Amino acid sequence: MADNEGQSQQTQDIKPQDEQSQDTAPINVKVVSSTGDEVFFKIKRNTKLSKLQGAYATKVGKDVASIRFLYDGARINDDDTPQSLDMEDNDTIDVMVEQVGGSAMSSYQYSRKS
Amino acid sequence: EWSCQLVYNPRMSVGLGLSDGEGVERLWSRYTRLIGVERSSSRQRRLWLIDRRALAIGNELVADLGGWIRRRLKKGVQDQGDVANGTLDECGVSADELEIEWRKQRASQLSIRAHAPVRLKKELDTVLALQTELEASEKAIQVTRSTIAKFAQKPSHETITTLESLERGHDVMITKVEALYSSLDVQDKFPELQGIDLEFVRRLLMARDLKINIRKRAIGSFFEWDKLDQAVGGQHQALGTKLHQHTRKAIAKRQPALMTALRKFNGYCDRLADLYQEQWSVPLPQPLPTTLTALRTDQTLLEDVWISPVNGDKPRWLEDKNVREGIRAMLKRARCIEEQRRLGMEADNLCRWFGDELAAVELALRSSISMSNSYRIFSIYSTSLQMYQAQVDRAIALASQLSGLSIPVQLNFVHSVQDFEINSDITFPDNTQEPPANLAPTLDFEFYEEGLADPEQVALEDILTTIGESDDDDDAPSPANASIVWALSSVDGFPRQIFDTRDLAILASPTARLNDTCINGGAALLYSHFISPQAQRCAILSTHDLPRIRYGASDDDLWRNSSWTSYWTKDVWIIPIHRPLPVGHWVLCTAYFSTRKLYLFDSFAEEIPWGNDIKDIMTLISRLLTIAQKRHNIAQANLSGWVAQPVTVEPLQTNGYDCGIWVLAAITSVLRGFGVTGMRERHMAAMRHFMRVLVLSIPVL
Repeated sequence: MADNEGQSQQTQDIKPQDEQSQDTAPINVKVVSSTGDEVFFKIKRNTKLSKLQGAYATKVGKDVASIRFLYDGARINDDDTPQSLDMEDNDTIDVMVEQVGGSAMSSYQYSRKS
Repeated sequence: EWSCQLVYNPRMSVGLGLSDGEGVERLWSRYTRLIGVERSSSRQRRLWLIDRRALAIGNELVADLGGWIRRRLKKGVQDQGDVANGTLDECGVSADELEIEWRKQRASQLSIRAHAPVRLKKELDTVLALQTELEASEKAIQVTRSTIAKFAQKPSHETITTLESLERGHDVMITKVEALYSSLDVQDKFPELQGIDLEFVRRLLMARDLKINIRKRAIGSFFEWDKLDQAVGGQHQALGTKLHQHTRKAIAKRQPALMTALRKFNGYCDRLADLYQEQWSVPLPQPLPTTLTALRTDQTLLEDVWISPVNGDKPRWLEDKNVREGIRAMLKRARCIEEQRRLGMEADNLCRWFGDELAAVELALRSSISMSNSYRIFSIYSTSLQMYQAQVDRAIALASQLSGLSIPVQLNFVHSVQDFEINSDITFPDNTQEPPANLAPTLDFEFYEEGLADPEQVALEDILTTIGESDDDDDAPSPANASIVWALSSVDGFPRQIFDTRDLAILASPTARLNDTCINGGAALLYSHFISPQAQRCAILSTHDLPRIRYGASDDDLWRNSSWTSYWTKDVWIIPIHRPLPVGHWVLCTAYFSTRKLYLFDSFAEEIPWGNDIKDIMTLISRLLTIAQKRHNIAQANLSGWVAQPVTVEPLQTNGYDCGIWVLAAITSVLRGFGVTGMRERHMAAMRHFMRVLVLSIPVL
């Protein structure tokens, strides 16, 4: 873990309240946004990833509902843990900002035509 | 009427093939038993009944569809086509010429000129009647004169003068009638008959009337024959012996009159031929055959007697027997070709149906893990027709994909995973525990790469996830607001899709704008829904892939997020695109590698914003391919000479919220193997509902 510290821009520690498992050695998780920004988290294997999601959202200042977390292309559920997803040390989670669309051109079109 | 035949005869109009409308008629006759029942039923019930009945008839007939197609092919297309071809060869006129002649014939026979004005015809008729009377009276006078001359040796002076005056008066009357005829201005209203002998015109018109009469009688007689024929075929109600006799008698009774008329007409024809002078150039009527059977097949019966001369050369379609026959043969051949095409379509449908049924059977067999049966049915297939082979292959492929497996070992594995999911979901309905996501894609890849899931690894994974599950229970229970989440576990190679209540609300609202979950998850759902060989050619990329390219993501990032599509094995890439500016818009690009084309779909049909998008898309394609090349050692695809073209150039959307639905509709059409969606804006609400139903129907395992 110490060697990871060097390359990470930020490392945050999330401590779950319930610390009683045997196999809870923390792992490092890299969260990469679609713009390429990376944030590192250290998280116990049985901690729910929703905590990581919340932490990330507050960090980047966005509503958690408007961000998608993907692990190997599949969306992460609120109840997933690194263990349930079989994550390994130094794995990457991709973060996507919600995309909404429906009308872009209408305003653009009309303004252009008039 | 001949002109009616020209337009509506099924043998003469384009596109009807050899169909005689009999099929429709039989359908109606099968409906007859509904008449009584439906007389007092409500509209809804009536529709329902008709629908049920149609379905039942369809089910019944589908069994014989193959035989039907073969019959039509052999009897209809082959036999009749051969005859037609033979006639065409015989007549020695090229098809193009015949085509031209046929067009001319239609044009002239359908023109107004071909139908003499009714009023004039009436006037002419009365004059002609008058003339006949006159002729009769002249005859009477002659007879009187000769009789008197014969018997009265010394006719009194008075008698002779009276007779002479009678004759004079008669002559005057004849000239007056002639004057009347010319005063009718036949030349003006009927310029064709100018300068033609009154006698000839008279005969001609009489022949014409007679022919109309003959036609009426003949057709009536044909109908009676038809009645007998149909009764023989058993399609109609059987005729009792009495009725049969009666009909036969009726035919026999009417025959002499018809025969007399025919002979009379033929006599007119001869007389006309005698009177005929070359410069009149009125086409002469052709004598009719005097036997009923010959009459039935004779096409000239339906043609009116030509009562106007033709300008210039006599058209070949009227004069040249070869041309006439040729035209008929040509029409027949055209119908035969159409019929063949129609039957081809039917055969395709039949094949498709067969394939679907086969796939269902195959799937059922595979699900029940009985290999021996599977082999047995294989041997049945192998004896089936060659033309079904492709369908069989398709069915087997589809079945193996739907069942997800090809050998029982793997089948067990999947069952175990599913069982596990059931357990987990009983405790947490919103928590579909999953085997590690990377397992799911490999499951399907292995079919392509013939790899096998290592049973030990599988078992291990199972245990791991179970442990994860038990650990989960220690955590705080999920908060109450984490309501039901529709999670589509990984199927058909797609990673797990999750729809939460917000996404569902978007689909439920008729005017909400779609977000990326709706698009990406929706595309995955559509893929699973329309699963087919066509859909399997497609790789559906995520809406987030293009932004990654724009921000210069690393190869690892790209691979991690798109490798599950196994895009390098796919021929068609479906790339939904999000345009963030100025308001947020969804568009779709479909890349076809076989033709090197990009099809661009934008519900607003805007052209300008595509410029940058296409650059990015090509970068995306080339980068993804390069990565795949490095990792899978595949040959580099040719990325030069790609052409991008819009699927639609007319804006389809007028509102400000439907473009996401439009993109899903376009994806649907691509998955089903079509280029462009036929939907219109009014269908969008239904499409939205359809998507919502798809999401809601994700089984909560």
